Amino acid sequence: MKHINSISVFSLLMILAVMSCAPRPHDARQLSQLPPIFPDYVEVTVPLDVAPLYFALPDSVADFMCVEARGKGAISIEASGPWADFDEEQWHRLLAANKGGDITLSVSARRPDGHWVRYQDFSIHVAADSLGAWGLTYRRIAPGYESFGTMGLYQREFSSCKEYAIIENTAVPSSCVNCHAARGGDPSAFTFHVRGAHGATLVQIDGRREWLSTKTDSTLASCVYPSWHPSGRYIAYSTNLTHQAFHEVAPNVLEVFDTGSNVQIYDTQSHTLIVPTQLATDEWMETYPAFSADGRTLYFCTARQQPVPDGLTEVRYNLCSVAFDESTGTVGTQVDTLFNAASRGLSAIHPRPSPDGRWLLFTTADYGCFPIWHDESEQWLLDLSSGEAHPLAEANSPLADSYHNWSPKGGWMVFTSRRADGRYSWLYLCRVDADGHATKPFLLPQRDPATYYGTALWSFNTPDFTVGRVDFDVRTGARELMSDERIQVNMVRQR
Amino acid sequence: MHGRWLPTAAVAVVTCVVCVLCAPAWMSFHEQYQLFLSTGTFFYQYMSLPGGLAAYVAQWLVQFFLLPAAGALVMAMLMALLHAALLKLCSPQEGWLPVALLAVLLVAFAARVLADVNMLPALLVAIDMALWGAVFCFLPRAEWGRVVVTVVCMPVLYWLCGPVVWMAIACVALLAVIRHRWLMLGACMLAAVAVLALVYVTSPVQYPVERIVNGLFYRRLPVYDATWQWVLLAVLALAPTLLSFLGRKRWRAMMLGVAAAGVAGLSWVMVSTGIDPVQREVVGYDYLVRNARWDDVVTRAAHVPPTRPLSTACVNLALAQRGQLSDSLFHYFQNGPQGLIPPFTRDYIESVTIGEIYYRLGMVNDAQRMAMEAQACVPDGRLSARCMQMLVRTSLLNGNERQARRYQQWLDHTLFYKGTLNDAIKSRQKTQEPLLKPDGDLFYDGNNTEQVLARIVEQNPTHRMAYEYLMAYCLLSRNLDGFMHYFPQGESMGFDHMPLSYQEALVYVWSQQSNDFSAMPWPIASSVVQGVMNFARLYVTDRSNAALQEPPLSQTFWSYLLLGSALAAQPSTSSTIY
Repeated sequence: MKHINSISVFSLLMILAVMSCAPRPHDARQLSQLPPIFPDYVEVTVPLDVAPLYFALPDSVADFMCVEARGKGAISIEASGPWADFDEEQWHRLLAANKGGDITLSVSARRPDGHWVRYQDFSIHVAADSLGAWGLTYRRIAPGYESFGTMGLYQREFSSCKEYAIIENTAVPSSCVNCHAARGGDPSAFTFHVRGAHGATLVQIDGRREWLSTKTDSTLASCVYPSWHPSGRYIAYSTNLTHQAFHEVAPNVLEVFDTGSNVQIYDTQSHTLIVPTQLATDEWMETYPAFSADGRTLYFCTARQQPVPDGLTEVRYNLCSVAFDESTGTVGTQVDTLFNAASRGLSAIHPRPSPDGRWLLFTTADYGCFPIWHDESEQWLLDLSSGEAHPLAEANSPLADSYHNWSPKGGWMVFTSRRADGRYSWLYLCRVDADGHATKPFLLPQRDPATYYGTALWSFNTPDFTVGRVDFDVRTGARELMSDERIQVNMVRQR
Repeated sequence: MHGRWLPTAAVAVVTCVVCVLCAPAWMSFHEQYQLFLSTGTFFYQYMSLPGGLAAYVAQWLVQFFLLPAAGALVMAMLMALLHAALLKLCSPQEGWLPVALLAVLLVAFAARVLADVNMLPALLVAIDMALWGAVFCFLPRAEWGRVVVTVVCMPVLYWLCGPVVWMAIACVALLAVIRHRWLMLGACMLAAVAVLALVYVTSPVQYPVERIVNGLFYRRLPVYDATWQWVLLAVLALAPTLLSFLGRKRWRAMMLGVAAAGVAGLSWVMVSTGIDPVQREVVGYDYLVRNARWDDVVTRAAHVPPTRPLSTACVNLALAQRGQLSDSLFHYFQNGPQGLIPPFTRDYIESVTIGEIYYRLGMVNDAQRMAMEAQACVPDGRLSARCMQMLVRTSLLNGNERQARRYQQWLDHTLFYKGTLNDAIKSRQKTQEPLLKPDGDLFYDGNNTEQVLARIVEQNPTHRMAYEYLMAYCLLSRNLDGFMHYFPQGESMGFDHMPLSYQEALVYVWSQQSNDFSAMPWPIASSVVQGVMNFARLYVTDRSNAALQEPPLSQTFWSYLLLGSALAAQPSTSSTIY
């Protein structure tokens, strides 16, 4: 016992010694500039439940930093080290105490020459509401061309940096998993597509998995780009003949384009693909379907076919909508053009209606259907009540801003952006207010962010919110997938 | 005990010599498809999976394969450890020498299995670790000590070196049986149960059961036939027991001599027949290209003609680098335009080599694409040192230094690639810079190679390599209209004479419109004129004449055009990606 006590005392002394050795700012020179932190969290607005906003200073600026974060009242927290490594529990207490208010951060840094400086304080605005979601789902993959290496679908807790694999392609060798979508963020019903030698479309509802073969003799290809009907019975997919062509001159890299595409609706009860003729025309390409939150409207994009790749720069998609009748699973005959992007010299893709039905979020590019490889791509909002559209200037950047989704309750959006270096897509979040204006986006927090993002060789794409953890039995699911046993869907043409 | 280390030392020396002389390409291949990082994250990434330590150690060792001599020493050490472990386990008495000789056969068998480039050196490291683990089990003097060590050691070994632990368990159990150590046998059974429980409890869900059973790190391909691997492990498990019987009696000198000769011969046969000829060809040429040993490529092609588009592409690249492509194009086997720039397939080996061609042609975007593709295609998902180097260089050439630094950050944690970015900055070469200006951008999908090469030549009127590739592409495609169209641009390319293949093509074109060769408007050598006349005479009168199939007539454009199999450019299949 005496021996154990000795060890305890010694350990305590060691810890105290180490703590007392941590550098503290002294004789710090006050600067009138904001700290050049990475990620740039200066004056961002965050949900109440966001993970600690870890940040760092460039090595050339500082080798050590001390940060104090304080709000109203007596609570303040500190972090010191090569980067601001906040304690997660303390962080959440601080945010809770400053709900709807601001947190002020003071950053002191030790420069490489050993002198300390103190930067101008900055604020982080804490929203009064939380995200309304457990976290995010996304695909992580090297920004690739035709091949795919180790990749997978992942979920990430929003209040921490914990990431869990839903499925990695190590479980299903030589396959690519993509296009994951849950029903309104509800993980009890989700779908994803697998391509490769054992390609299939998975639909899992309440733990029951169905591996579908969605290519029929009368459809172009398998089902991709899913959107769930809020009832959970239907899933709108598009089926695309997707190709790639490669630019010869940097900074352009590649183009992903379709030579044909249709929108079709899958009935999960009857295993039937309903193909409305007005969404499967010969001269036009219909793609990226999205159901409205009330399930009565189906949004999609459409463009006139052009000879490719020569006519690729003339392919421009418009935003359209069509009524959907849940009782019959059929769409209306009248197709409305909501946003004529082509007339503005733009291509509008990835429509995502907001949960309150007010907005339609979409991406624009100069042409084509794959804006992630277009530096000029931007986020836009269409006011569905007035028909007016505007770019989300506060959220956009000079480089590609693409894949996006609304939080389950609305008010927040997640999107991918290559603003950091033009090649790798990272996840940014921002708030969208009632007037359709966005706050300054903030990069999804990661511990030791400079190392994480500075060396990451993967992109995040197709992000979505999820209200709970996705439960997928990888081992059994992978075995089923490799078995090639599939449910062949039937195709019914709706005239 | 005196001199018992000599056979093991001999194994090391022979391994070292064989590796230096015969296996630099094999070693380079392994080295280029891994990226050992001296970071805690990298260590943790491997240690969190069964067999991770063996994989980690193997990668640390394989990084030295970049230097053939160092790599040979590493292999010598690993093979010597294997040999020594086998000897230690069977504890031979009087007949230690024949045992040592026969153990060499087992080492050779291991070498045979490892000769397959898709079998990773991690298997050998894991085997060494497991066998020495088995040796460790017999070290305690007290029986209960051996029992405890066995029960504890085997599950730990499973985690450190993976399923090869079954070999160690079987080996110890068999030795326990012949030595009548029943407690040890029980310990082995207990250890087996413990390992099974560990496999069940810890098997990572993101890997198929088959991979966990066969080992996550022994082979590059995730799905494979593991028969040879298990045969090797079974043989190694049995070997100490069988060799123990041999080791009880002294052998006569003559028998020893015969055995030594037999072992040497059999070992050589085993190893040499274990090498897949296709792998040998492709890996061999790629090694020479990687090291820019252009003369060696051409020499090799003269001795062992390439048979695959990729090898032919290496030869053509070497000819171009030596400025001989247009003169010597038809002196070597040609299999169509795909032997110039092979079409892209989702294959990590081909993509790397194709990337080298693009890089040297100044098609920097394409070189970068191939590096990305190759890296994505490495079947075991590892990063590739060679691809990462190419990404640094091409990012830099494309003007994206920030991107280059991102890749360099990975290389900063390696032993041999720290200076990649700085070297690239210092040694930028004109020929490797992007040759297309922004207004020259066009889409390339593998089907419009001629168009892209023509655009490069158009924008770089003195770029001889691109021009030679363009002309070779036309000739190999039997596109004489294209050849004649681009022919005048050759004037600005600095040829000191008209290249032979061009002369042959021009003579052929002329022969289609006139019989009067003296009126040709080009400076054609009389030997070429004479050659075409000989060729035409034989071709018209006796198409089966052997002279047409032999040099010099077989090494001409006319032979390729008229007698070669109809190898047209194979269009890249524009397959959909979903």
